[in-house]
Amino acid sequence: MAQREALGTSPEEIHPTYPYKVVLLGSTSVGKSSLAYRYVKNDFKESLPTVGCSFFTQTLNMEVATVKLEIWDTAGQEKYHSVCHLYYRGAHAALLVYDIANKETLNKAKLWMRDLEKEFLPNEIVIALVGNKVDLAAEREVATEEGEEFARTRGLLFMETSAKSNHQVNDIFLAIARELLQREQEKARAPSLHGRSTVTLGESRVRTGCC
Amino acid sequence: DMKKDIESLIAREKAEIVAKYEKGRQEGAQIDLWEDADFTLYKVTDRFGFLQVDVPPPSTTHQKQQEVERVDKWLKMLKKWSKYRNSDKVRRKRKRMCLEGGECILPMSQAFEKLIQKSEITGRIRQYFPQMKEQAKSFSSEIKQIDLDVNRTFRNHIMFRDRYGVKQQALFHVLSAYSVYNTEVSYCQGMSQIAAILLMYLNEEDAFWALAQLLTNQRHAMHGFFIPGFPKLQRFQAHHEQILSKMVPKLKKHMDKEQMTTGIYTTKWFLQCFIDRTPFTLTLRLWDIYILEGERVLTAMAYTILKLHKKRLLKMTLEDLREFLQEKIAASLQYEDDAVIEQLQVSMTELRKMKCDLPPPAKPEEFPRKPLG
Repeated sequence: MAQREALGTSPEEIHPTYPYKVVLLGSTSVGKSSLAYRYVKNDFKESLPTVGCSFFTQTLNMEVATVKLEIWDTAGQEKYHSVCHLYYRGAHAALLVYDIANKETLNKAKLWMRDLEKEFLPNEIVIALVGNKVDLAAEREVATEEGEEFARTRGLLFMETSAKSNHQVNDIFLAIARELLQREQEKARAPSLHGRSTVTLGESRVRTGCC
Repeated sequence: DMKKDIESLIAREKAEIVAKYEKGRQEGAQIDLWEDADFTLYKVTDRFGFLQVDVPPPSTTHQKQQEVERVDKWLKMLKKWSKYRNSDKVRRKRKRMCLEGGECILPMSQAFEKLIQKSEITGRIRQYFPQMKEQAKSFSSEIKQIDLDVNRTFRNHIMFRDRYGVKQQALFHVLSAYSVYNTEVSYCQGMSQIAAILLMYLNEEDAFWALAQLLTNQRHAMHGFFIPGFPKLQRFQAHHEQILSKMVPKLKKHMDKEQMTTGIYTTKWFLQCFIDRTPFTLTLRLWDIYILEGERVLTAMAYTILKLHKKRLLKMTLEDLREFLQEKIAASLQYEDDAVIEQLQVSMTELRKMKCDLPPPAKPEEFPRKPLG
């Protein structure tokens, strides 16, 4: 749901706005809500377990376009998958989140990967693998290389983050926005051309809502 | 062989979690630094036990006086409870008092105790709780999930802030015992906050029975809210949409246009009776009425919130709607609690007249099929 038409994709439009739907997926208690909260509100709080689904929006003013991210956060417990599944439909990007201090959560992220592969064509969705909680370095169970390697073989974006200490949270969402725009540009060009664009996309952020 | 290994690994992990709760915070307890919440920020607790960053305003003499009077009335009525428990007169009277004002600190525990109807839980049934608690240690499939959620449920409340503290232990016991008592529900996210509120006013065993009542008695039947597929939630959400179409069609149209679906904003309202979505003082009042009146409160309160803010909501975009319904009203509904409760009562009458105070009846699938215990 909540998938809207791109507001300005016509060539005359100088600065188009693209709305994208981004979903946060992963095991329970890996920090999905905290990542969304840190990104949108730039804050960290002890959060309650998520019941059902919720979303936030964030607007990024980039050089070539405005990107409006609609970020969907979901309950981690498997029982909720049946209801939350409805909200994943039409997603443009997904963050597969695991906890670097809990090996099992990476395995769960890999299972999510399998689900996404069933639902989407390879180029239909931007996927990022996110190892959260790097502030718990002393408890680390998953080596950086391990996440990196999995991401590389599957062509995923990869970053390690900490919602608590605000490490690379903006960066991962920005990387996703860039990748989405890049794909948009590739689509607009001749469909036979698939080379990487070298345009660098500057950004300045506009916060929506009150914080 | 590998399967066996995994099984024994899971069993060991479970045993470790159970052992930590048994140990509590005694000497030698292993608590990682990050597990204990950082509360240096919070200086004071309010009178409900929530830790606050700012010093809360003192209650006015009038407020306190109101509370004292209310508690008096309560106690008088509760003495006659067994005699009149189901009589219309007492229900009306109690309802009026719920609606009248003041906050439910003492009465809350009384209300919860009535929920258990202690006298009916005697003998053989009484022994269930210690048995379930024991069985859960080896047979609960949700130990890990419960453990994770216990440590993030009301961590800003004085009772639950200490990792493996007494009330965290109790919360773990209540939820894990319930997960083997009612295997169709087992444990579902959302239940931890309900159990925690019960534990603010009841001891461990009573909280267990109160939870058991809420899930399977006729008036609340929350079982259907927490079983796989959430059939009762879907029934209530569909009914909520019908109410909006009928009573506030313009607002319904606006929200549809903005793609603010009921699934987004009513899930917590219905599954948890407004915990964490209204200010705590109001949440307690709503729970008090919920215990007495049952599920029609959910329907009426959802309608009341939208009705109260209709004009404002009509001007909001999707993001503003989300922020308003999920965050702003959790801090303040922008009306006094008394005024909100009064409006709730008006809504209840209004909906009853329109014959839409309750959704269509539940299908049998919403009720337990397997024996409890």
